[in-house]
Amino acid sequence: MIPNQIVLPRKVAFNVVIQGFRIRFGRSVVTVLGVVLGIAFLMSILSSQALRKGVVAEDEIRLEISRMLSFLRAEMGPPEERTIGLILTGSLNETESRLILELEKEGLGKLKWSGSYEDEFPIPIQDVVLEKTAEQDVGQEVSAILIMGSGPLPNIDWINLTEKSRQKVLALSRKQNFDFPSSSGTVVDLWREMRPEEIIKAERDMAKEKVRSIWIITISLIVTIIGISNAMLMSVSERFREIGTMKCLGALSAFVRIIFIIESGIIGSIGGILGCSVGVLFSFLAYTVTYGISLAAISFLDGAASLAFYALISLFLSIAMSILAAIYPASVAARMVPADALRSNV
Amino acid sequence: MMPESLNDHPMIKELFSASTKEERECIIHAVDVKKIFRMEKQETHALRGATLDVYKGEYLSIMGPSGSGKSTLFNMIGALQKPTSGKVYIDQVDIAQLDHNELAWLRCRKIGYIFQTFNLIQVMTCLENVTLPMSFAGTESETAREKGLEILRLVGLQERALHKPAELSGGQQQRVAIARALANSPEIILADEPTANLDQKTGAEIIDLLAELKENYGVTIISATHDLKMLRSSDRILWIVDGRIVKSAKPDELDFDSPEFH
Repeated sequence: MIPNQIVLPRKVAFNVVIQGFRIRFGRSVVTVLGVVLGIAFLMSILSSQALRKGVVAEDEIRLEISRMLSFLRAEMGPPEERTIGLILTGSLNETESRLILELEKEGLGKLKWSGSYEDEFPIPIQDVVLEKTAEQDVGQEVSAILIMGSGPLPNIDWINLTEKSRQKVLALSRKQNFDFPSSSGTVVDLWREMRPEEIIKAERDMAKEKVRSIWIITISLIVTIIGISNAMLMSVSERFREIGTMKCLGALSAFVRIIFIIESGIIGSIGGILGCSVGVLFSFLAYTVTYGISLAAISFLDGAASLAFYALISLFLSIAMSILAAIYPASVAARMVPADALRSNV
Repeated sequence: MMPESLNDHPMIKELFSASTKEERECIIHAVDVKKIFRMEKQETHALRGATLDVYKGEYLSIMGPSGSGKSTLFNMIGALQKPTSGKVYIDQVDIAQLDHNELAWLRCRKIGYIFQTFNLIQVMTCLENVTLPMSFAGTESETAREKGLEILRLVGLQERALHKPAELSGGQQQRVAIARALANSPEIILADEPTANLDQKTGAEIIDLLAELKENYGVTIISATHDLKMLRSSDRILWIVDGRIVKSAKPDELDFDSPEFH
């Protein structure tokens, strides 16, 4: 005679949840903040993954320049206050120009340069004393001679050129057919690529880094889940009486369960949306600081599609996590015996 | 104030017409009900075999000291708990045979609960509190709203429909709770010390309201109480002591001045 009728007034459940948020606003905000932090962290790492494409070229140039600098420093010592000779064989590429700017930043004292292709020094330099000399005088009193440019090597007596140098160091920025007896000085091949073992080491480092960040993300998400679960358990115990009353009035266990699932789902959605925004904003700021606003903007436009994809994944993950976290508290609430509500001191 | 037109209310007439037809029909039948609570190897016998019949349209009061098993008996006949042994039939249905969804259905449609501490949902308005059981029963929200307003009018609180319970006095809150108990036109109203948290005058109003419901619509009322006025207006009084029903009497057979009532 009693039909097994299951009615879930979802609207009512939703209403109960919204009212609950209003009453416990402060704590809901704290719970949401926990989710925001977890998801923002995930999203900032995912978005730097998505944006990397836009800065790959820049990263390579930076890597090359720092390699060239370290090679140069190893042979001639720190560039600070020193004089360097520079032979321009043709126009400079970006790496070469920036290498010179980098030397300027490191406090290079004087640059003696020669080049038949240019009258003015091709890049703007302020803090370094520039002196244009004849090709054969470039080597006088210098700590190193740089040979840069797109053209072929000039026909010079190299041994004679380094005769009056302080240090007999010749540095080539590009691969050239260069014949220089090692007894008369050192030749530094700035262009030299990484040796295979160096590449393997770099790759291994990157893999290690990846494992570490996956590990940190996992831990932070687990912490987030535990945080939500704890907040939901508190919410359940606060509402024991309310739940019991509703059960006395005929609420199904499924109704009670859905209340907490909805509550957690809303926390997850809000936290997810805010967390994604904060994460993306954070990585945009980090990119702006590292690469400058224009490159950051370009890489954002380039990576917009994968950024959106990752944001969707994070949002989905956030909601899924919240619902997962609510399963145990919700079943605690659903299993509750309605008779408990009759006790006045619950 | 209580409305005077309770008798003529068409909706309420309709609501309870089904339950007024037959006299002395047994609506709750409990046979040798035992309840044992087990807590860490210790067994507590809350009920040691209670047998009782509650008739349709009856106003039954249950008395008993605290710890006597009164609340447990209450929970059994209200389908809130299943007995350890023995049978409880509500409207000829053995509640032990029902799963939790069917129990919820039974609580929703057959029984209205009134609590000592009102237990209104504080975040909801009075009207929402009254319509809540209706939405559990699957009533459409527009219908529920109209019916909810009707029932609030019946208990004299239609002007307070959109107020929150905290804005109401204790007596008014209990009247909202009664309105909520009536929401799905139950055949049984279970009231656990409904006047315990109210002063004399408002308590009396609640008792009158319950008596009117019983008188006019034949709704069965079971209440646990120590309130003399409530005992006087009931049809039958049961004593429960130490998990057993020890005495059953009509109010006119009793001497309310005797020490056992004080």
